[in-house]
This record gives sequence, C-alpha cells and structure tokens, in this order.
Amino acid sequence: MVEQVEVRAERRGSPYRLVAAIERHPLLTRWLLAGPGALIAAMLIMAAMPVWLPAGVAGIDNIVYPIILAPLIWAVVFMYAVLEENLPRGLAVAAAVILVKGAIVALSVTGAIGGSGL
Amino acid sequence: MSVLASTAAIAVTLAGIGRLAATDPKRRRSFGMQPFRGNRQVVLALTAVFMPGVLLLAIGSGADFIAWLGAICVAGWAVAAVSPWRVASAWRWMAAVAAAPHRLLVSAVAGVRRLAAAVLPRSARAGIPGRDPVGAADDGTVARIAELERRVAQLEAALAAPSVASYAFGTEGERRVTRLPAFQRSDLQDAKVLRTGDR
Amino acid sequence: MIPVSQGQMKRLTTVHGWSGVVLGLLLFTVVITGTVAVFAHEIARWSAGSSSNRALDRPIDGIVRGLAETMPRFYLEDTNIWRTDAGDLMVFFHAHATNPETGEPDEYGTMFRVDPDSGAVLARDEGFMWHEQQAWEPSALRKFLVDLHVQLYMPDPWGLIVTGLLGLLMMAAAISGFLMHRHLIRDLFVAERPGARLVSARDRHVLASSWSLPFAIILAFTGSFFSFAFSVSFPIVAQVAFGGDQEAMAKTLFEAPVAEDARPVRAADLDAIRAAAIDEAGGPLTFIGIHNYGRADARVHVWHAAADGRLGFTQTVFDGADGRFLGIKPQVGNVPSIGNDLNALMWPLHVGDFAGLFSKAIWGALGATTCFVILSGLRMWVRRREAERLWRGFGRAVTVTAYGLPIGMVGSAHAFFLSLPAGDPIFWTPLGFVGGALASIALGLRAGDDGRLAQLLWRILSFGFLLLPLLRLAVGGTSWADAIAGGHGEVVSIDLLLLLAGGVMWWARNSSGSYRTAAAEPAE
Repeated sequence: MVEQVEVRAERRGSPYRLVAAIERHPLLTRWLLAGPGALIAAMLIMAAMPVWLPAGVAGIDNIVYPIILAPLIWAVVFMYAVLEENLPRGLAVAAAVILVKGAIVALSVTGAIGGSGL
Repeated sequence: MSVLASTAAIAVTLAGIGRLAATDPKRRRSFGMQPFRGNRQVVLALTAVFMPGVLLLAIGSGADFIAWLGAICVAGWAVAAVSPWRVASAWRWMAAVAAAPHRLLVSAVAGVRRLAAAVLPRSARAGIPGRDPVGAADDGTVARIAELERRVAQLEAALAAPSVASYAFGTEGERRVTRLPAFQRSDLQDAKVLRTGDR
Repeated sequence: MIPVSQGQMKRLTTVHGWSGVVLGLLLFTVVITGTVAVFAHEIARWSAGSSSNRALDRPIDGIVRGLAETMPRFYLEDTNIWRTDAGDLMVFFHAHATNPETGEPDEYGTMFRVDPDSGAVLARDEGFMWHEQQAWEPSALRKFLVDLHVQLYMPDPWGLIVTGLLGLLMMAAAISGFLMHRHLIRDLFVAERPGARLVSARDRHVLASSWSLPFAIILAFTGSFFSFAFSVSFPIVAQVAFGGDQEAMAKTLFEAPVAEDARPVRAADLDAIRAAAIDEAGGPLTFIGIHNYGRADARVHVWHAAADGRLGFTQTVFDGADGRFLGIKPQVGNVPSIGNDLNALMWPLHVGDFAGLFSKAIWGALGATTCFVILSGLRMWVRRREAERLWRGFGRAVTVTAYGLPIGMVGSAHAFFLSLPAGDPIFWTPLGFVGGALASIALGLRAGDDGRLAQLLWRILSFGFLLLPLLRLAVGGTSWADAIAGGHGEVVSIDLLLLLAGGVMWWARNSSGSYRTAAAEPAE
C-alpha cells in the first residue's frame, strides 16, 4: 500500500508524497492530530464562534456559548482524531478547520470582520 | 425543591432497579444461579425506573430532577454491586426475623457486625492490591468452599492409597470398598464458577 | 453499544488506559478534594466553631450607612456586603486599581468585619483585600481544601490550567470508556464476580463507571469550564470580540447600562430593599453589591441563593437612590437567554448545593463513586501487569496516594487546630497536609508488603479521625453544650461523624482478614 502511494507520489507530486509520509509514520501523525492538533483546532473553533454565532435575544450568546462549550468542543475534536480511520483524511479535516477558523479569527482581530460583541 | 418528592421518586426508581437486578439473566448466570423463572415484568420495572424522573420534570422542579438523577446513579450502582448471594442471604434473614420477631435484636447486632466486617474491608480494598479475596466472601460461600475442599481431600486420599483403605476397612483375605459420598451436580457447578469466575 | 472497528478499539483502549495511568493519580487528587469541598461551608462552620447560614437576615442599613460616612468617595465605587460562615457581617468599600504586585486590575479599599447584632466593628483592614484572606476567611482549613481542589494549590494561572486539563482528561476517559464497553446495558447489573480474579477487578471498575457515567461527564465538563473560563477562554474571546478589552466584555456580560449621574443623594434604605427582594424572588439573601453608593445613579444588586426549587442564584436589582425594584437580572446579559440558562446551570451541576445537605450528600456520594472508579481502574491496570516490577511499584504508589491524600487532609485539619492558639493557621494548615502526605510516602517507600502498608495507613487514618474532635476541643474550640445552645449544628454533627468513622475503621481493622500479595494469575 505504501509502495503504491509512493509510486503515485513519484508521478503526481506533493499530495501523494504527503500521504505517503503520513502512512510511513501513522503513530506520530495520530499523536500530532489528537494532541496539539486537537487543542489548536478547539481553541480556534472557540475563538471564531463570536464572529459567526448569532448574538441572540440578550446580545451575549455569541460570547457565552464558546466559553461554556469550550471543553465539549475539545472533546469532540479529540475523539474525532482518535476514531478517524483514514489518517490523511483526518489530517486534511484538521488542517481545513484550523485554516478556516484561523482566518476568521485573524480577520476579526485585525478588524476586517467584526465580532458582534462591540 | 421538595426533598420528599425527590426521595419518593428515588425510592420508586430503586425498586424498579432492584427488580431488574434480581431477575437479570447475566447477573444470575455469573453467580451460578438458575435463570429467573416467572415474568420479569421488564416493562413495569422500566416504567418504575424512569417515570419518577419524568414526573419530577413535568410537575416538580429542575432541582428535584437533578437530585433524583444524581441519587440513582449512586444508589443504582449500590444496588447492582451487592452480590445476589448476599441479597438472598439478607432475604432469608429478614424472613427468619419476621417469623420470630423476638430474636430481632440479637439478629440485628449480628447483622451489623457481619455487614461492617464485609463492607469495610471492601471499601478499604478498592484499588489496593494484596487484600485476601476470600476474606470478603459471603459466609455461605466460605462454608461451601470448605465442604468442597473436604470432599476433594477424601477423593484424593482414596485414590492415592487403596491398600490403606483395604487395610483400614478390610479383614484378612477380604476386601471391603467404602462408598464415597456422591457429588451433587450443583456443587460441581459452583466449583466451576468459583474456579473460572466467568460464566 | 456503539460498533467500533478493531483499530478504533485499540486506540480507545490506549487513550483510556494510558491517560488514566499517567494522570490518574493527579485526577484522583482533584476528585477526592472536590468530594470534601462539596461540604466546604459545613467544614468552615465546624472548624470556626460557630455556624451561620450566611443569610443577610438582620438589619444592615444603619451599619453600612454609618461606615460609608467615614469612607472617601473614591472607595464608594463598589460596596460588597455578605456574612461569613461564622456569622460576622463583612462590608468592603473599594474601587478598582492596578495591583503593583501582579500588574493586573484589582480591587483596593477598606474591609470591615462587624458584629451583625450589635454593629460593633470587630476588625478593619485596608489594601487589595482579596489577597488578604485572614481578614475575611473564618476558616483557613476550608480555604486550603477548596484551593487544593480548584488549582492543586498551585499559583495562578497554572493551577487552573492543570485542573482544567485534568477535567478534559476525565471527559476523554469517560467517553472512551463508554465507546469501549460493548455490552454496557447487558452488564449493568453484573456485580463483581467471586474469586477475586482479573475479571472480578474488571467487573468492579466497569460497574461503578457505567452507573456514574452521566455525572462523570457532567462533573468533568463543568469542572473544566470553571478552570478554563476566566484563565483561558475569557481572554481569547475578549481578544476576538472586544479587541482584547476584557473589562468591556465583563461590563457587557455582567452589568446593566446605567446613565451616569454623580449627584450625591441619600442612599436608599438597604433593609427596605432586603424585604422587597425577598418579596420579589424569595430568600435567602447571601450577597449585596452596591455600585456608586450615595449617588443618584447607584444600583443595588441582591443575590438570592438557590432555594425552593431554584437550581442557581437569582439576582434582583434595585435603584440605589430611591429603592425602586428594577427587575430580576440574569447572571449574564440583561434579559433572559439560553446562554444565561446554560451559564446558570454550571455551578449547581458541579457543586450540588441547590438543596442544602440533601443535594450535597448526593454530590459527595458521586465524588466518592468517581474516586472508586479511578482507583479500581488503576488496580485493574496493575493486576494485569503484576509480573513486572515497574507496575508493582506503581501499585504501591496507588496505595500510598489512595490513603495518603485523606491522611494529608486530616493532617491539615490537625495543623489548623494546633496553630489556632498561635494565630497563624494560614501558614501551618498547608504544611500539615504536606506532613501527612510525606509521612504516607515515607511509609510507602519503607514497607515491604503491600498488605501491611494498607493496614498501617488504614490505622493511621482512623486514628487521625478519632483525634480530630478531641484536638478541636483541647485547643479551646466550641464545646458541644455551647454548640447545641447556640444552634451550631455542624460543630456537633461533624465531631460525631469523625468519631463514628474513626471508631468503625479502628474496630474493623482486625475484621479485614489477613493481607497477602495476590499471586500472579494465569492470563484470562
């Protein structure tokens, strides 16, 4: 399986090289995904929530929900990282979440888009 | 918050849990007991378990419901954790006391002593290696184990030295065979359960 | 229950087992101290020698008005009024300033301890008073036990981060355990099978953890929330939503907007406000916060403890100038919302104080069950690996921790009482814990046999329980006669509980049977 991916990597380039690298080091990948990966993803999901969550009747739901739900967010992300059978897919999902949520946070902090708390 | 309502709800739920525990097939099988003969009344028992909580949510308050939920998590465990042998022994004791109430005081003192000796070593034993497992066993189990060991010792003695038996029991030129007590089928089953601990 | 593949099961088992082994003893520390902390108020009243339900049920207006007249206007920005567990009335006039030691915004002002009946000032202190616990905490023992649970007595914010991470670990262990258990419902009534084999150890752990699963997740989740809420989550959300202005975010969440009007007026009668608050939302009242006392824009916030079916606190707001009732304010935001409802659930679900001793007893039992789950899981791990010297040593560590923590807590209580005459229990109480814990560790390192070690530690613990009430009385604590006459129920009841626990443990020490190390078992 690894050899097949490596042959494809030779022909097609970096995505398959990445998949090959992941499949050569599954334990390390799993540790990174479930450890720092889950922590960073959870923190960014929490940080981005004030931007896209509606403020609700009292105007504070988008601030309160991320603070209350933070531990549950981590638990969901962590269990996904542990249970995902397809490591390359898991890594792709984690990367997508980190990039998207990270972009939302960065844009909000720089003032390009607003968190509706102010 | 009505403490009375919550307590009543907890009591009804525990009664349902007790019924389910007493008739549970895997629990009975694990302890070498016969399957429950009769109607388990599972639906009624489950209704008794969950209906008090539903009623507390509907008629009572959130506090009543949360207290009920917390209590049955602990009390349910306590009910399930007591071995069925101990439960049976408790029922027999209660029946004996009911039949002879004047012995209640004496029985109560003896019961408290047995309970303390049984419960406290278990709580001290939780998570600690090295406790004597037999020390926490039911009195009935200890007696059964002793009886089984006595019978095994008799068998071993008989198998190991038939000439001794003939010398002990036979006269010169004559051979008399001593018939050994037959094992009961339930004793064999008990021995298997105790040995493997798994059914 | 939920089908998982072989690979997933292997990973779940690794996560569940190794997270328990690496951090299980630390988690046990948090859980057992939390079990004790459920009864923090009762412990405070017992150790202080007098009880009060902390209700603001006596006249306070004359006292507060008289003290406020002596205060500079700067200190009237915020006024906090409450009663300690020992019954003294506390009044803290303060403003906000940057604490030079921490560099953080803090509350600086004058704190009075007052006799609630006579109004006599018993003590007066000035400074960043929340850091001067001897001024407002009647029981250094209670403070130590609660701090030990909340942040493992480590400095801010590291202690909170560690306990928060342990809460996350507990959630991961509970969820992975749930997914690992294929026959959760079928095994729900399987008691520990006889014979003390490996499967019996498994039964013990599985049964306790299955039944306590819902609350294991609830307690872990709410505990993590409390640990991370202000140390990590609040700053992060403030950075995104308020450009890093945490004060603005706090004002949005916790304060109602008020038009500024600094004209001095006669402050509204606080006793009339107390009566009106009880009419509006029921009692007992446990805290009053006044913003801008003596100004036209003053606001009085009254906190009502959980009672009459309410799970959490209720907050009523009054105009501080004319005493008008302005409404019931949610804990967060200014109108009812789901966010507020969720936030309001966190405290009662974690602490279990919404129905007095009834709910506290249930929560104490849940904490004890969780302790049992952790220890039985560690025991199962050690049993499977008893042939290896490393894991036998770990088993010894489990025994030492299981006994050493209660011994340490009892040691802290002994040190508290012994240091009371000298007047510095804040310093000695933690040292008592350290002494008890170190003694247990020393015995654990020296003991040859696990069984004898457990027996010795059991006896030390029972002795510690028995001695505590006697020590409390010997250092001049409230006698039973005075306690009964004064209605200080906790003093007598906790003394009796300690004597009963110690007595039963001492009596049972010879009924526990002989101790011998379990022989290695063949693989199941």
